[in-house]
Amino acid sequence: MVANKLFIRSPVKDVAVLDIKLNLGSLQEAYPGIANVLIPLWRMSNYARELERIGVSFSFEKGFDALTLRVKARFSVVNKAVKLIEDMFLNPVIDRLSDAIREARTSISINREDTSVRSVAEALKVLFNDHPYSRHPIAYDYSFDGITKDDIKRAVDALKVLSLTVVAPEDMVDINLPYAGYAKVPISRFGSGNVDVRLEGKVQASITIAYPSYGISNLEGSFRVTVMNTILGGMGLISRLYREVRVKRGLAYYAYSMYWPLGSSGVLIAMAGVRREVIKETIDVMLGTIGNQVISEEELNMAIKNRIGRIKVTAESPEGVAMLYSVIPTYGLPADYYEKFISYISGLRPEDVSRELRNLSKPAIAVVG
Amino acid sequence: MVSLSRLSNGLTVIVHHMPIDVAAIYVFYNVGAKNEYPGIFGGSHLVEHMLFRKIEGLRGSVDELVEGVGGYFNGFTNYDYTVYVEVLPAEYAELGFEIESKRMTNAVFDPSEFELERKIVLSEFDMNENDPDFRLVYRASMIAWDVHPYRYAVAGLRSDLNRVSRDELFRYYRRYYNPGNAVLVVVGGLGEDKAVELANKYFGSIEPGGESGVIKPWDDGLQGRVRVELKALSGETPRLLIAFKVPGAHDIDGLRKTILADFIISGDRAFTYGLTSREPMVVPRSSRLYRLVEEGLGDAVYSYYEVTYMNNLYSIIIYNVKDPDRAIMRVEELIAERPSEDELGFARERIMARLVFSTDSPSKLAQIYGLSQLFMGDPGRLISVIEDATKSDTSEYIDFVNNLLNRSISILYR
Repeated sequence: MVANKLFIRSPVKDVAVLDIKLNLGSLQEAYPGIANVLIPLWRMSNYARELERIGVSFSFEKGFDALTLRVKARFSVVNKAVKLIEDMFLNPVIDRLSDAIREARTSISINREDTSVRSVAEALKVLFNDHPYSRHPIAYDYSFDGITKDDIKRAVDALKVLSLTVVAPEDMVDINLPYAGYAKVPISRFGSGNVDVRLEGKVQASITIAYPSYGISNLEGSFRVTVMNTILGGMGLISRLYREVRVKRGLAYYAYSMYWPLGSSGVLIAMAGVRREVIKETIDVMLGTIGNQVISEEELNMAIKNRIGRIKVTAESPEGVAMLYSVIPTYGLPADYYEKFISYISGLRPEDVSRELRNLSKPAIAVVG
Repeated sequence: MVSLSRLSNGLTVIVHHMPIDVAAIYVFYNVGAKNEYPGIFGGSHLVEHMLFRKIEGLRGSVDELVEGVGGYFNGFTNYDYTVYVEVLPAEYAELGFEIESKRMTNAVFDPSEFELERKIVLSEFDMNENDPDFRLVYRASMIAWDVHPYRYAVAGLRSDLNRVSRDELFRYYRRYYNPGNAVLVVVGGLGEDKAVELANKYFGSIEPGGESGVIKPWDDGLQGRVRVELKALSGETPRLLIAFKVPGAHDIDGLRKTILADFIISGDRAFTYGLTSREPMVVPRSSRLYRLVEEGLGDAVYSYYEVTYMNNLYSIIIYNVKDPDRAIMRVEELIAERPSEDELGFARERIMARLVFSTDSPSKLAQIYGLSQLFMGDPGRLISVIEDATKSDTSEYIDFVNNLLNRSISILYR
């Protein structure tokens, strides 16, 4: 068995879920945006059509560290599906490159109309400077015009599977394509500062405040920030940002934070959507909330219980299991990653989380709308 | 196996045990946009927001109680119903019963909290209005109905949300939130006996009363074909929306045909999105709609459809549309085309696969059972209607879509 493959036995008899990660995230693209063009080229193929015909659901998701193909199939057809997927990957419809570029461009422009997505893209550009993470996978302003058929051929020749996660009743699925380990791209320096993009006619603007943080391979650091993010804005209605921005002041419908522990770095993002006239007030409330380093025992205990219980709840469906566990083979994490996570966070003290809040560096702040 | 029982106060209880460590607890109320009237359009949604605020008798707030054990909670307001959700580690399942029983009767509607929630719902309205697709679908709704309560969708009217009083919506809450107008669905790692015992323990003492939200299905508005043009904001992608009125779930045979038509026209994108999974699916390339992109009439295409009790819109959006007249004509041609046996076979395969994928977790099953009970009075009926959609034939499809094409809305946004 290859190290990048993980099989998890599923109690659901008729369903198989595959999570296939390819070396075509923002980080690995030789030509920025080439994955966005390959996706339609693959979907145009007869192999993709045959997958649809046999009732397989599949969707591509380009991320920072990988391009993920999520597949859901009835177990009876999963081996046929895998063969079709291999053929699809190796045979994009290169002759239709101009159509694919048009589709990719439209998809990006629709994503960039969304002020919340666009504000994250703008903040990441500032935070990550010239690192590939500065290119939001689906909302960066890619220049597709220079992509040639040769670029596509080279991307297919260099195609590697970073990981395969299979959730199924039996372990009888593998993919016949070369595997490769995830390779980090170090970040030389983080940026900070403000950017404001005005879009005509939008009634609401989105605010993104982005901070550099630990990558996923720093287990203890990323575990601490996961709990910190839970308290800050990742726990639904009780998290601090939600309470301060929405519940107490009614400034916004959404106010939350996210922590993305990626392979080469991590990023903590706080977001809210508000009218222009209250942007300054909202940013002040958000920064004040993030700057509050006092963590109570009660708050910490709730966050810890939340994280532990959430693992169980996320795993209620086969796709939830795949989403949860696919990080293990992708980043070469220990097989008992979640046991380690539970054990570590169970021993956290309030001061451990306070320290992480105190150590946050100057953020990148983007307002779009 | 799914079981159905009814408490003496009228609460319907649906239980399905699965060998899993999670329990999904859903409470459906038969109240939504369909029950609204001038002055409170959007009010069902605002009530839902208030039911996450102060509730007397709970040991803490809903969010603290659920998030504190790692559970997931949510609330959704729809055209026909409002649903409250807790997905909990099975050992904490009792918490869901406690929260939902208190929510049914003890929401406080504190005036200052009401004013804050009004601002939040208006902010949500702003967020929706930021989205050009929402604006198009909302505009299409206003063309599709004259005085029918679906006219303002679930979002409602900004002017009503600005004005509606706390007392009016509190009365609305007291009218419709009662055991006889609710369905409790419990799916997952709780035994049937235990689930019924907990339902009795927490809901059994609630007095019957209030009103039913059931209304007689009706329709108005759209006759023939309507076409309008809107000016796009600078920088936005031009697009064309084409919408058709399809039968609601009150017309079971119509729903069955709509499901088949959706799988032929859109692959499954619209149906899947609206039913349970909310997956970010694209229109399959082998669907008819995708031919619009293949033929260069647009650069992307999506469809939206949600199963509702009364007739509603099936919307198709074509982005970067090149020749709107040609695109409208081509959409109609594509829909009207006689399906081959091969195409029908493809649709049937996908319907059956979708059914399997939509019933593989407690949450998805709870959603389907609850909808089915509300719309059809039987938790298993919706699944059998979906199965029956595979039995439709070519002539049925042709008759059905010819009827659809007689009533359509096109909105060009450029």
